[in-house]
Amino acid sequence: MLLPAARYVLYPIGRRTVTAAAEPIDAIALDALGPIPTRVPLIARSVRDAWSATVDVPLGAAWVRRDAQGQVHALSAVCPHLGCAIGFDGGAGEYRCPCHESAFAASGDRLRGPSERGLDPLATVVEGDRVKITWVRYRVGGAAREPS
Amino acid sequence: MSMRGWLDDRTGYRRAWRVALEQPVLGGASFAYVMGSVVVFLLALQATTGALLSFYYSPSATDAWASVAYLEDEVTLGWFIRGLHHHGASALVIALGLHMLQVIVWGGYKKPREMSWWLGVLLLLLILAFALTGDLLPWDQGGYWASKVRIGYVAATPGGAQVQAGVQAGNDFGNLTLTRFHALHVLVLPAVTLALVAVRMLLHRKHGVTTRWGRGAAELTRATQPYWPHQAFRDAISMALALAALIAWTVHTGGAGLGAPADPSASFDARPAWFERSLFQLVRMVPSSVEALVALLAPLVGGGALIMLPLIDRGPDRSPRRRAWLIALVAAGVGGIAALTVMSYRADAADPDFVQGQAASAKLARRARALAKEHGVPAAGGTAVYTTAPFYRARTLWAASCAGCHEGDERKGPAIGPGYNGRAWIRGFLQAPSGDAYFGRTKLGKSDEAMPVAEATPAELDDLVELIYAETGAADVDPARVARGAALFDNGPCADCHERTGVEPSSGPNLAGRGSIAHLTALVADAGVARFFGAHDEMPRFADELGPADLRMLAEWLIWLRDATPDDLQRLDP
Repeated sequence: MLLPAARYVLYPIGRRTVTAAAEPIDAIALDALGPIPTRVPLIARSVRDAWSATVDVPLGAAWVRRDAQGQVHALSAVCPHLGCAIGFDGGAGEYRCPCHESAFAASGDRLRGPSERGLDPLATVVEGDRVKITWVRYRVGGAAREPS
Repeated sequence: MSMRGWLDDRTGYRRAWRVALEQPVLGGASFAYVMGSVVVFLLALQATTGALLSFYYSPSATDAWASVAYLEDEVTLGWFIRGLHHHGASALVIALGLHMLQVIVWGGYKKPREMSWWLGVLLLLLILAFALTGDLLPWDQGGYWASKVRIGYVAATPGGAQVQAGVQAGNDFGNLTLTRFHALHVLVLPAVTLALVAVRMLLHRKHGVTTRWGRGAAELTRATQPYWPHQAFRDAISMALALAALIAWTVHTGGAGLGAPADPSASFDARPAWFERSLFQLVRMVPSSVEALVALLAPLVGGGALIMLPLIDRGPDRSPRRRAWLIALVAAGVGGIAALTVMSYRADAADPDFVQGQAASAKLARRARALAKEHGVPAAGGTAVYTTAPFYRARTLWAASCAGCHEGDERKGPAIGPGYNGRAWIRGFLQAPSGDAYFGRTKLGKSDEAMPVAEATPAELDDLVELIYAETGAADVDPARVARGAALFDNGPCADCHERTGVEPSSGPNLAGRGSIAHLTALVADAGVARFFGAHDEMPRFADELGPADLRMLAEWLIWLRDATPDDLQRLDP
């Protein structure tokens, strides 16, 4: 009796209850990118959230820049410490978390603060003049980078 | 038989009433005994306002914010009921905190009242659980991000990932998180609380009030009064005062407030609730290596100390003077919590980035709620409310594909904004086709093939402007002027380069229907066709990138701009 009741309540554990269309998300024009990171919202074409299917759903955001060699780099704007939205301090040239003051270099490397790892990179692909980004929500906390 | 007698025969209510109200209050009634009643009263108020809120609240990720925005901005007194519930939770934390402080000072946790004390500690935990589950329910930015951080702490502990998945119900926040938090908040926690309060009140019946230390047994017995009306009156006064303060605070603050809809893609400076602020400040001050440990241990140590209190301080003496170590410890604890809380708020107020972020968040919240009130929230969910803004799609496309070349200092093409293709714009163009606001920044504008300035008297210029303006299809056209303008056009140098009927190409663009929906749609689709700029075209072709519906929306946006002022533009985004 108790076991089935517990399994009923714990049903979502280990299940992917919220899933987005897997393809890379069209994020921004290549021309719009420079060495200073730009914050880009990532809007999924569709999201399945338990029973509901919704289109054009904001999943998260990425900080995107294009280095001197023309390479595009994207970092998840979710702080790897506890999940707050990371900001970029243009004056200091570093990322800062508004919640617990973790700081990261423009490369995403950890500089200081409570986060145990650097910002989480996101895969990018350039198609024509558009930059596409694959969104992954990583588990917060810890030094290891695992999708949640 | 009287009506009451009939009822009493069948229910025994008179005896129940006596049992309920005629309990002797040892040593006499006092305002010192009211806090427990105030806590129970506030719990009842939370149950009442909570039930009222559930008449309108919809616990789904797509509906929650919209339903709360509707409650706040449409439903009569919705803001007030929600404000009472929101601030009522704070009042409960305060009232229970004061109650427990008093119990500590008066030694009310001592034998034989240990169980009552432990139930009080448990009630405090329940109230915090209420607050933490309730915070997420509106699904606005503040609750969403604060909840993310709270659950992040849980996830960071060993085995915490499983707990996180169980609490948030799956791999991310969504519908199941809301249904779960809602079920806990409105059904499970209230049921547990009700049971706990019932047991706590029965214990109170058994043990009675904790009298002030140092009073003799004979004096206490002599001064004893019945609960009704002496203590009941004091309780009622205190409840009324608590309610009055709560109402005043709710009116003063304008209610609970509602942020912009939860948006994982938006930036937001998350902050915890006021009663979590001291912990928040503490973890920011300790070295980052022990930060997570402190965040989890500090509440455990605090809670553990409260639970252990009756086991540690077991002496019968309830005088605070004889327990100075405990009083000092508690005072230091409360003082520390207060100091950390103040420091946290001060640090935020002194941080210009944070203040700016708060202002931006408040502005976004006002906009989202204004849009929700005017247009409703699309079924896609809270953040979809922004798509109901006038010309949302066109302006999004414009910002992504057009603004780079047609707005700002870096633009490469003609400036396009309010007044575009209006009479003043056309006049300015005819007077300086290669001016900076027009083709001055294009290769064409700098070349020999650029259009020359129209040589005309002011009256002739008016007529030519009217002719070109009439092509937009605007309703306020002066036909006489158009006729005069047509004559000037056809017999002057204009016609050397421009057709103004049909779709025939000419060396300059064909002006037929210039600035109309059809013309603008075709121009944005491909400005390089022969009847527009042909070989002189410098604008990208958008026909492949944008569908017919998007092209048309852009054209409609450009036509709206024609009659718009910069103020009108501002008003689109209040």
